[in-house]
Amino acid sequence: MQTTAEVVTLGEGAETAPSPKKNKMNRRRRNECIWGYVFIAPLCIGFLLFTAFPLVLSIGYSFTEYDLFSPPKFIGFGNFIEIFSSNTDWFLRSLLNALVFTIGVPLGALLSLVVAAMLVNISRGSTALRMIFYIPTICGSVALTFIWQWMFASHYGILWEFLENLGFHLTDDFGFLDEEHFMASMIFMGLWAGLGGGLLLFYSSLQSISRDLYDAAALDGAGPLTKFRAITLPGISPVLFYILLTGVVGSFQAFTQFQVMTGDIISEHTVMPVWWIYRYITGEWGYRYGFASAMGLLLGLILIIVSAIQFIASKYWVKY
Amino acid sequence: MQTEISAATPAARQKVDKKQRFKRMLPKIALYVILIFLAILWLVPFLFALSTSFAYQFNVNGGEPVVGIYHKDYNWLWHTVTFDNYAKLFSEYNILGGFLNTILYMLAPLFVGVFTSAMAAYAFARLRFPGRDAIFFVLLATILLPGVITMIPSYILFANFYHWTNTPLPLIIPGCFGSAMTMFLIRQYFLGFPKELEEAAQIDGMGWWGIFLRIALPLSLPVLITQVILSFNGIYNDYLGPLLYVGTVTELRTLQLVLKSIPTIGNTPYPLMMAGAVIALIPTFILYCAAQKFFTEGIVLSGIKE
Repeated sequence: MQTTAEVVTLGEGAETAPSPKKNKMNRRRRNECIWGYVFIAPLCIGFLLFTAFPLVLSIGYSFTEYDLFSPPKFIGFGNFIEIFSSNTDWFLRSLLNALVFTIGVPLGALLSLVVAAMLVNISRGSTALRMIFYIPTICGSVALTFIWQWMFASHYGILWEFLENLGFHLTDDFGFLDEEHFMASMIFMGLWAGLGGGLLLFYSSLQSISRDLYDAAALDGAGPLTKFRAITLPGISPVLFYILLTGVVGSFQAFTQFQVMTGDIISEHTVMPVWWIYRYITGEWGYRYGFASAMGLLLGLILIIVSAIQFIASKYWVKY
Repeated sequence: MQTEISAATPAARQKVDKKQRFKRMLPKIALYVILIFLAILWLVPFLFALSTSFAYQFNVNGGEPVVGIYHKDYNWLWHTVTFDNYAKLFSEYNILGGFLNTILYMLAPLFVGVFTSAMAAYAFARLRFPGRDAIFFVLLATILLPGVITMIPSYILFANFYHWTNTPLPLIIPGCFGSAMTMFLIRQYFLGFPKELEEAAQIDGMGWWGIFLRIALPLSLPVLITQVILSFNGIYNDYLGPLLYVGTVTELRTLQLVLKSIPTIGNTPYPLMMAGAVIALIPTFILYCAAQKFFTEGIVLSGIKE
């Protein structure tokens, strides 16, 4: 219907003179269409050049061996087979590390929910407190990692001192950043750095739950646990879902704090996926761009699948 | 209990009231104690860093003895102050040049990028044209696309097709085309405008470009400022992007790269690192103090989407 209207306007002279009013309407519609495309043109061109095109390339390069200097050589599923069968490549190991790091996501959500629940119960000073908790989330990762590297320092760092003062006797072979404790320390730092974002979202979501619901539940004799399950959880479920989704995708792609914390010294215990892929760009392990593309594509697909599962599962527990 | 109170003398009743009020206040006081304790805990890393940034790394024995951070008598709450770390940062590390590079690279993406995002946002919110919803859906879906997929191919694209490696262009040009996320958030704002807005302007003979530029944009100033501030902070803190494209060229480094260039292994110069961290955090803190409302509005907005 819309298109026929446009055809009519295009063949203006040949048609049996349409009423002047209709003609004007058509010209206005066409004008609106043209301006619509003009307005979205820059964003769409940028999208095609810098997102869609690389996306297509990533699929193409994943099946090739490519060193930037000679043309890419098609090798079928060779790269993917190597990822899963190689003993020297740490990509699978980095996925395992990322999975461990993801423990911080539900922990962080729980922590920010608890603090948010405390904050909605006070009136004066709650804004100032929220502002303080939010500070780390806007700070650059390099600076924050420097600070935590110093806090985690053996013997001299504040955390070491704190534990000694509590009566723990830390031996010389203990370290917050040694093989055994590295991931736990990174999760700990992540909890501190990430609290503010979840807190803000939970706070506004908790505030939007009507007080009347709790009063009515209290009249019916509901305990705190029932209230939480029947009123609070459904109320905050969209925000909780959002935090878990973005949190998982974010922690699988965490890079800066790992690279900076270790001083760019990679090991089986510290390697993370994006860091490992980045190594192939620097040429440290040879210029294997096809192989690196395959790893990027694989990680991306894993995250898309995880997100899709979360989306499907959310149908059962998220109440919008 | 009720009757007991009413039967008591006024003075006694007041005493009981006070006691009860205190009892009722007790959970609230406990909440405040916990929360303030937590807030202090959240600030300790920053205070610890600030304190260390003014400390000596090693003991100084000549003249008046000074203990460095490795000495057992070093006290992070109270120690001799030195500005050497900051001086060293400016003399040996090009921290000022890094800052200028960061600002230089972000100007175009910041203003042109938000403008082009707003243009698209306006069209998706207020204009009708064939394919609008399909295009919008595709753009929206890419927000969820993990960035790691396009990391390597983008690098190849910039290196081999455009020959942009070792120039800041990969950090500048793509940003000027706007981002789907920014577009989406501005669109939410445009959707809230009344329909009569454009009708009145059209009767006055205004075209779409005029309506967008002279009516829609000024009306959406709060959301535009929010987006500029959030983009500023995002670009300012970006590390991986500059590392990939200008990481190997010393004079092109951004502030975050200069900061990272402080050697952190071996005899770790913690005071110097802390001075660097403090310098890098100052612009963020100033912006946050001046415009914290915009920061928090931004996150709540992006959270309640969908």
